Amino acid sequence: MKTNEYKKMELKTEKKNWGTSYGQLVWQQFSKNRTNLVCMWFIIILFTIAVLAPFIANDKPLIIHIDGKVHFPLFDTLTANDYAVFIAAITGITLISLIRRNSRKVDPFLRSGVLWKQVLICTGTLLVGIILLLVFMPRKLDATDYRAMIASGKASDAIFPLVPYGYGRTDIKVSQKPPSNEHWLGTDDVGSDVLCRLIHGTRISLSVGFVAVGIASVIGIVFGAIMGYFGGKIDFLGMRLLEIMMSVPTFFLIITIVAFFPRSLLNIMIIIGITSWTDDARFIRAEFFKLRNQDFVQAAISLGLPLRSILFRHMLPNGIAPVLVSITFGVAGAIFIESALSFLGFGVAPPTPSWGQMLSTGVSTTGEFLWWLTLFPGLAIFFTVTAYNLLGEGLRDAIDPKLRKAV
Amino acid sequence: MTTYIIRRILLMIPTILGITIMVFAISRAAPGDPVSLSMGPNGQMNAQRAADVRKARMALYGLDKPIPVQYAIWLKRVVKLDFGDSIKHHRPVIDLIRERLPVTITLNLISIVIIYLISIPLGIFTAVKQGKFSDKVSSIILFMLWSLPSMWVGQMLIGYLCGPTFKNWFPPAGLSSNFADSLPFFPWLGDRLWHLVLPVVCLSYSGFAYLTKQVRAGMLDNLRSDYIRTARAKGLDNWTVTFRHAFRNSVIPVITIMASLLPAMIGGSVIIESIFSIPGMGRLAFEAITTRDYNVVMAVATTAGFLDIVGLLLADIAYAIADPRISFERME
Repeated sequence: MKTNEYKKMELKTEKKNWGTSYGQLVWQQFSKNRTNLVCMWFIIILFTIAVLAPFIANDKPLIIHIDGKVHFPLFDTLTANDYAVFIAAITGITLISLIRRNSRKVDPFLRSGVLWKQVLICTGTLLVGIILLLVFMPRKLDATDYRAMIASGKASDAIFPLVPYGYGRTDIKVSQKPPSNEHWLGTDDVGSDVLCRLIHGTRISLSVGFVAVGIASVIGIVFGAIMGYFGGKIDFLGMRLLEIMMSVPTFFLIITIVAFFPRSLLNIMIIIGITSWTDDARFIRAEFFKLRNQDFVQAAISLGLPLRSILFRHMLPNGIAPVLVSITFGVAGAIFIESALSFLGFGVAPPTPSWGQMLSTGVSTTGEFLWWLTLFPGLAIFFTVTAYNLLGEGLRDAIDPKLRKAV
Repeated sequence: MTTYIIRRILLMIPTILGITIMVFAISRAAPGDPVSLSMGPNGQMNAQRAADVRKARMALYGLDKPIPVQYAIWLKRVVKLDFGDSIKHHRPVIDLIRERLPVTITLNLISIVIIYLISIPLGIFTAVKQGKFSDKVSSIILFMLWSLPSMWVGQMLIGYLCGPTFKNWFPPAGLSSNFADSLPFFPWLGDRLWHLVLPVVCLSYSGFAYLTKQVRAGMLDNLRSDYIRTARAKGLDNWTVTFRHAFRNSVIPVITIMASLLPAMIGGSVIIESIFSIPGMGRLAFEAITTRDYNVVMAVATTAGFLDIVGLLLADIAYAIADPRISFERME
């Protein structure tokens, strides 16, 4: 359908009341519970911190006057990675607002088609943007010590971010210092500011959660959809494979893979992703079993639609709800596994800030217990994992109609 | 019953094969092969000689054969419990595992017993008191326990309860004190238990939070059902209704939850054992990975998978014994 036809449709049906959709029902139920909303806002704030991390914690000033000229060192030193995160954030916000707009303005019968195109366009733009950035963005290194410049009187009128330290800074003179006025949450074994590393670590944790669960859910959904749709022998074989996957202790499997493969952030994400899709597959399979014999699926089959369309455009939107719950729990699990791996030293390498790795520095090499290096990263992991778990719980209660009646 | 157990054991075989295939595949898919690892950088040899040595070694380790044949050879050795030698310890891997396995099994068994001992009464209690203040408080606490990262809890416990900095109540590491061997039996046992307190706490709290939630949910489901209303209408007292009727029906599914607890616990023992320096399988895995002792890594992964499957088998058999309906349905 052409775009202007959509527009006509929208204009015609603007004032119509379509009733409440399933999604809106779930949202109503979900937002009734105050805990759910608190958790949601907590995660939104975490994401904001992760996106804006270089503006909150950075050793480069926002504005500085050097020899009477105004400089913006912070903006000059943003890396391609930072810009990629910004683009991703903007795309995400756009998508969410588009989905909200759709539910008010687009006819329910066209909604999934419209959404599909919007998602495609957004992800396309995102990918192109990120690739362009990563290819063409020059890497700028700025080793100037602006604080020394101010101290020596060369520069003046500087505005520093809230936490004026970089996450990769090493300064042995101030290593392993407890919280003080200069370093609100203390410093670690190489003299980096703990608060700054926590803020930058948010990025790592959230991105691991996001990407790993993204990989897991894609594998799980495709696998489960095929199993549930075809049944029979395919289902039998698939279930045996699932059984094998489920009976290997996941953490052991992960560390086995980690032992053999090079350790980088991307590898960790992929490893967590390919080992934690079993729940998603099971849920989708169960849903597809139920959906397979329903009229709309039969209609889609008899219309001769391609398998891809039957599975993912007709059946998936009707069976995605339970998977959303397992996805939310999966994010919590992935964040936990990443921090456990980094804690054991199998995760990302030290200059990259990771909560688990910071936690492991809580006991120094001499066996001394440094409470601020244990407490704060641990709290960060704990709050994030709890928020996701509570969110999953709330979502499950909102989706499960049996519970809705009972309580 | 015997038929069911035999059937169930036969069904284990493909799963075990699957696990070995997976472990083998991981080791072979990894970049770099054992020969180039063991040869190191070949700066001193000329290229021709290096290639010859390489070829000879490949043949020696059977790496020149096709992958399925390699797998068959490896599997044959695994069946005979021959996992090769450990590079770090210079001993057969199976000896190491034989030493370490009992420690991990003991640790996990104690934890599982504690989990069930605490969570079943607690689950019943919270279900009976549903909606009351005590239920709300306990569900919040349980939820937090469930999401607490175990490495954090372990490190905090060591730091605050076993360190020189704060309280010095518990030993921070190991399974027994240095002088333990010279102790008579009961003091020795006491010493051992004293060392086990914190690791067991760390290993069991999240499982017991999870299980309590499940017991509570199962109890609530049963307490809402019609036969409970009938029982109450008959004039049975609360105690009988709760324990004779609702509890019996809701405890059966709880047995199978062990199936989902066990993999997490076996995986969790890697973290706990490395934090508390307990010489078990988890610590063996941890050390093997840090020193890239591949034979040990593969052996430990296989053993952990096997352990898990045996646990699942026991859970299934217990389930079949507890609920005769299930076993007959499956046998048909």
